[in-house]
Amino acid sequence: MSDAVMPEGVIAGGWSYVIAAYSVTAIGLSVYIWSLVSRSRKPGDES
Amino acid sequence: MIERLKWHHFVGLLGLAIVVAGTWIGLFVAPAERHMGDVMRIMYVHVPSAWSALLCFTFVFVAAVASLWTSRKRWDAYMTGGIEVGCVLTALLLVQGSIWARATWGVWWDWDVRLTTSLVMLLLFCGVLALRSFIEEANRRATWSAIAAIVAFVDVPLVYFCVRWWRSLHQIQSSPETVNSAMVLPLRLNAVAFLLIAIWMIAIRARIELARLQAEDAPEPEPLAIEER
Repeated sequence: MSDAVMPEGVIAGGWSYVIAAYSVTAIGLSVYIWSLVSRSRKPGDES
Repeated sequence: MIERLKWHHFVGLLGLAIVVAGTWIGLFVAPAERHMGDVMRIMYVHVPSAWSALLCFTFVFVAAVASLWTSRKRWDAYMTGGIEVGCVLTALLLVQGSIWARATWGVWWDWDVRLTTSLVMLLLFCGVLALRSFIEEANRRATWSAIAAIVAFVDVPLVYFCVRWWRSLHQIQSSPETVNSAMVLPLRLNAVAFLLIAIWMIAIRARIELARLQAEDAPEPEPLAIEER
């Protein structure tokens, strides 16, 4: 039975994935908040 | 102007301010991870999204029980707000996780127990929202959607504990003892920020739903009386 060995090395080019994940999060939350604001401003809605 | 700002708007603005600080520290101050390098910085939005989504659905469970217990429309509205915000956060969580998985595992998706239970959680609560849209009568809608939300909540502890109970590609929960102290601050800041933003969004969504429910209850205007004038 061999011991598990953590491979050496670092993932390169990681920033593109980071930018993609943060962009999706920012856009997703912004669109949802915009939809909430637009729905809450419908005529006859007091909120 | 300030008098018109309600408490939840202050909560939301505070959350937005904190998320800017947390994201800045996470992206530009905290160190890269030894093996994952900069990809690990996805953690500063991925983990807060997960925690907030799970807390949203826990709140949904409480609101669903309270709605069944009291039959008050306010709880029904809070439950709806919690479900919708929880679904948004879970959808973001799955996309962030997919991007992180592509960088570290080499695949966009795997039918791993953590990923699968998270997807099931999203589908179950989307199902509750769909169920609400099919029932027209308000009391029946509140009752059945609360029951469905309680059933859907069964998956929430599974999402949290599955990585401990079963073999999973996904790592188990970290703690301040297992994470570099320089990474703990942005993680905590963003966790608090996401929670405040989630509370803000739930409050707005609940107000919209409550206004809609009250409009449903309002008596129909009499058209003849208007025509006479």
